Parts: sequence; C-alpha cells; structure tokens
Amino acid sequence: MFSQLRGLFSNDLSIDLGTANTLIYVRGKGIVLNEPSVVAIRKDGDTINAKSIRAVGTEAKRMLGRTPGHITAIRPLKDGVIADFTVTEKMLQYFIHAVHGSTLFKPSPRVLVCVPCGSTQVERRAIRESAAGAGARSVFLIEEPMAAAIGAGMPVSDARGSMVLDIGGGTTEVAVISLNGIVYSDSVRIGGDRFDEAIISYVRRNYGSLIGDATAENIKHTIGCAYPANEVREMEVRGRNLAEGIPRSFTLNSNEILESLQEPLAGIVGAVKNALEKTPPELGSDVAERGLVLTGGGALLKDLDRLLMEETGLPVIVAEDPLTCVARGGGRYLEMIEEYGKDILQVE
Amino acid sequence: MSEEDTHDQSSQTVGERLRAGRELKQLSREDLANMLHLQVTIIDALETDQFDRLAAPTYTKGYIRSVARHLDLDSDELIRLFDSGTSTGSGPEILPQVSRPSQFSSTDKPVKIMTYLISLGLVLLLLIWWQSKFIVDHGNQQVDTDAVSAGGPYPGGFDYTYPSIIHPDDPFYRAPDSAIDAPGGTKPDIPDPAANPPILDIDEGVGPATPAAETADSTAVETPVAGAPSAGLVITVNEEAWIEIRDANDEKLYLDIAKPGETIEVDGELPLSVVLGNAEGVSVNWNGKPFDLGPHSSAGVARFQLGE
Repeated sequence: MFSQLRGLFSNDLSIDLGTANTLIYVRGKGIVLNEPSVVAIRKDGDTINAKSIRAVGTEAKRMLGRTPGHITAIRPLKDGVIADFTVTEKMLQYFIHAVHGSTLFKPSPRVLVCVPCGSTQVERRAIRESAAGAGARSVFLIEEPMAAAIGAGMPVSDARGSMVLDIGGGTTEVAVISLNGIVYSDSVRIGGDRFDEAIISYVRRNYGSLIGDATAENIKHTIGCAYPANEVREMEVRGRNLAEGIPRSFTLNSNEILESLQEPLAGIVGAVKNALEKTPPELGSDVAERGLVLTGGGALLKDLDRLLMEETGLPVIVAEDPLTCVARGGGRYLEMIEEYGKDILQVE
Repeated sequence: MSEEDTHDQSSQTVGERLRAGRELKQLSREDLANMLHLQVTIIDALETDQFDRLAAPTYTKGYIRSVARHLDLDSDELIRLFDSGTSTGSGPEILPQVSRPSQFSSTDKPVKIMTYLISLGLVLLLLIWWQSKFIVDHGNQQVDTDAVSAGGPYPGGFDYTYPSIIHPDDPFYRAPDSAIDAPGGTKPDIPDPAANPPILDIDEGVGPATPAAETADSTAVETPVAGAPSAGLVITVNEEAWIEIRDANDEKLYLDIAKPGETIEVDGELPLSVVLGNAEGVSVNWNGKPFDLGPHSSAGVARFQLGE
C-alpha cells in the first residue's frame, strides 16, 4: 500500500540498462539521465559488507583503470546482461534517486527496462529483480529492438516489415517488426565493447603496446570507421610498451582502426545477412524497398551504414539520435500503456 | 491540388537542393540510386518533394541524410528544411499521438501540491481532535476534584450551596429578618406560611410572627417525634460562623460559612445534628424557643443534637 502511495510522488521511467551507458527516460520529460554504467566500489575491510559505493556513472568511469587498491571501478553489466547483481541494483537505485531528486518520499516508480532479445529467462529475472530491489513498484521488460524501433519512429504498427539493427555496448540486436510484434529477432554478443577490445588487441599486436579501455574507446570515437574513407585521420596515442615496460607514444590512423575492427564488423554483417535470410519473403521485400534502420551507440561509428549498405545491398538509414532510441522508445511505450492498455505490445 | 501546391512551396528547396547537388556531381538519378542501393523512384520522389510517396518520416530523413552526405551537402540543414516543410503534419504519423492533457497524472505539480495540502490538513485535523479530546478529559477530571474537595457528591441531588437567602427586594420577602428555605431540592419558591402550616417560621426575637405560626409552633413543640420532620430550627447569625447541620440520615442540610445578619431556617428529619463553629456569634431558636448553647460549647465550638 505504501508503495502505491509513494508511487504518487514518482515518475514512470523507461531505463535502457546498457552495457556501456544507462539512459533514463521520464514520461513527459524526456531523457533525463545518460550516464556510463560504471560503479566504483570502495573496500573498507576484508568482510563482504565492508564495501561501499564510491561513485556511479561519469565520475566512476573516469576512475576506470585508474583506481588505487581499495577502490575498484567495475561495469556491472556484460554482454547486455547483469554480471554483478548487487552492484547493478545499487547502480539502478542511485540512478532512480538521481532522476527523482530530493523528495519527501522514497521514489517508487513504474519501471520499464529494455532487455536484449537473446537474453535467457534467468538473465531477465535478474534484471527484473534488480529493478525491483532498486525500489521499482512494478517492472516491465521490453525487448530492445522493439523499443529501438518505436524510439526511431518506425511504423511498427503497420502491416509492413521494418528491420532495425541496434548496436549497443555489449550486444547487437537485429529484428524484423510488423504489426506491433517481432517477426524475427537475433542477438549477437558483439557491440561497442568488442570494438574496444579489438582495438586494444590490434595495438598490442602491431605496436607491442598496452592501452586501456578508456583510451581504446577514445580512439574508436575519434578515428574509428567501418568503411574506407577518402581521407585518412590520425591520432596520437600513449600506451605502455610491453618490451621496454615504459609508456610510449605512437600514432594510429583510421585505416588501421578499420583493419582492427574487421572481425567484430563481420560478425554484425553476418547477423544482418542471417536475419535477411530468415525473414519471410513478403517482409523481406518491404525491408529491401525501405531499408534497414540503425540505432544504438554503435550506429555512430563512422560509415557503418555505408558498410552495411555495400554488404547487404539494402538502403541503410541511421536513426535520429541513435544513442537514445531505445530509452525513448521505452518511454513512448509507457505512454502507449496509459493510452491503450498493456496488451498493445508483447511485454513481460 | 492546392494542398500539393502548398506542400511543394513549403519544402521545394529540399528537392531542389538535392537535384542541384546531384547535377553538380554530374550524376544521373540511376547512378545515385545504385550507389545508395535505393530505388530510382525514391530519388525521384525526393527530388520532386513528393514525400508522401515515401515511407515514414524516419525513412525519408534517412534517405535525405544519405543522399546529402553522398553529394557533400549539409544534411542537417536539409533535415531542418524538411522538418519545417512537414511540420504541418502532412507526414504520416507513425504512432498515434499519446498526449492526454485533460488527464491529470500523479506527477503533475498541482496534483502533488494538492496531495501535500490534503495530507497536511488531515494531520492538522487529527491534532485538533486530539487536543480537544485531551482538554475535555482534563476538564472532567478538574470538575471531579472540585466536587470532592467541596464535600463530595451529595446523594439525592442535594444542592450544597443551599440555603438561598431571600433578599429584601424579593417579592416573596415576608419578614425583615426571616429567610425562606426550601430544602431537599424543592423549588426556592416561597410557600405561603398560612398555606403550609408544617413549615414554621418563628423568629420571636427579631421579627413579628403571625399568630397562626405560633399555634402551629406550639403543637410542634409538644410533639417532637424522632424521625418526624423537624418543627423548626432558626439560627440567627451575628458574627461570621461555620455552620453544619445534618439530618437523621446524615444528609447535609446546611454546610457553609454564614455571614453576619443571615437567618438560617432549617427543616429536616429529626434528630438534627448541629455544629456551630463560632457559638458565641450565633443565637439558636429551636421550636420557637431560644436554645442554650452553653452546655454544648467547648472552645467556642458548639456540637449538639436537636429533637432527640
């Protein structure tokens, strides 16, 4: 009963609980939070209970790889699913409080969380319980490609096939949607993190130097690309030389990064081709006519649409503001629940 | 037709710019369509601003962005133009607009404020109720203690402030020094002595007595029977004195500090037990005759029984 009362003072939230970033959309307000899914934990003693949250989000991300012995900065999600249940719960709790600000009552919102379509029942249950533990009054789960399609403004309710490719931090989801439902979906555990790992291993292999996750991500954002471009961009990077054991500086260019990303990109292209192969022919023709829509942070990788266009022979479109599509779609869905009831889409 | 005209006018520049860009690059529509894996009809629709022939605005914007990037045009500006051209709602709506301004949500500020106010009001009402309850309880307790200190509750509803002294201005005032009593909860209305012979009013020393009263008085003196109503006790107070008079049932007939000049007349079931705090300051008449207090007095206090 108290949670109902507290619900009066809470906003409905749509949470895109991603491997790299967590976005929160508040119904009627828009995206209010976009923070890295990183938690810094301070260890005060040897017992399990002696752990306390030192920082969450951007502040914690700055600590990644730069922490002293008693602090560990961790990413509680891996490959789109929860790797550390307790820390995820704490992180969600922190974010929900941050969204509500200082209120008289402890917030108890209705929460819609987006889950990868390839996640298992156990993984979904972990997400559901984590959100409930963070104070949610009720938890809805929606599959990420569906949320992404709604957020991108695709005509999901039409009797026509729409294909969406959501490249997140941990997973890449591809789905064909028609009549408010998913006709085909697939999820591969390749995402932005795999791009970073590929860059790290490339640098290690070719330059004999070790760079951190944050540096790799920075390289990806600055000179990363998925298709050979006319101009070659360069960037100076500092890493620890493995042979000498001291930090060294070297220059990387965009073609090298393109080479390093070949493997994960091939995985994504393969997933799209596989999806097209398994799509019913009628829907396949709709997709071929209108194209494939890219969402998620991975869509910001330069010329990724070009690569997919060349590889699949389909028109490829990058959605507007692809990073927030999933969260916005979830928020839109919350509004649709108010308007049409829960049965409009399949959610759990 | 007019709709199409306005549509063309408002967003003509998008198609024109795209066409100009393509011609600048010396590309045919087919070339561009092949490069972007789009159908020629889509390029055609874009260049002729017939956006309604295309799918949802998301797709249209995506096409514009792709073409613009390929032709080295400013895609953001073209998208802005496209948005301003279709802001009238000509583009197909993807999902029904889900805004219900008429319905209040719990997150609305006025609703929140109202909820806070109502909660506050309820708490205040509760406080007021509790306060008032506390005061009533306390008040009752006060009254109880008052009653106890004044001699406790009196059986039979006896009014311990009794007797009432009739003021000379009173229309029932009969004799200058006589007062009329109505003990035992009877009305303080003064009965006519002639009509009520048992109640005697004898005050020989101070005021004139009627002959009828005297007659009745003599009969009462001759037959003083225990348990019978007393014939009459009249106490004339000269100095302030504590006076306590109880009847046979130990009921208090009088219990007060009498003021000088008062005349106390008491009727009650015999025998009456009398305590006079200042025996020298009062004179007692019993059945019309002066009563000698001397044998009953000790240290100024007289205790005696009458009508035994």
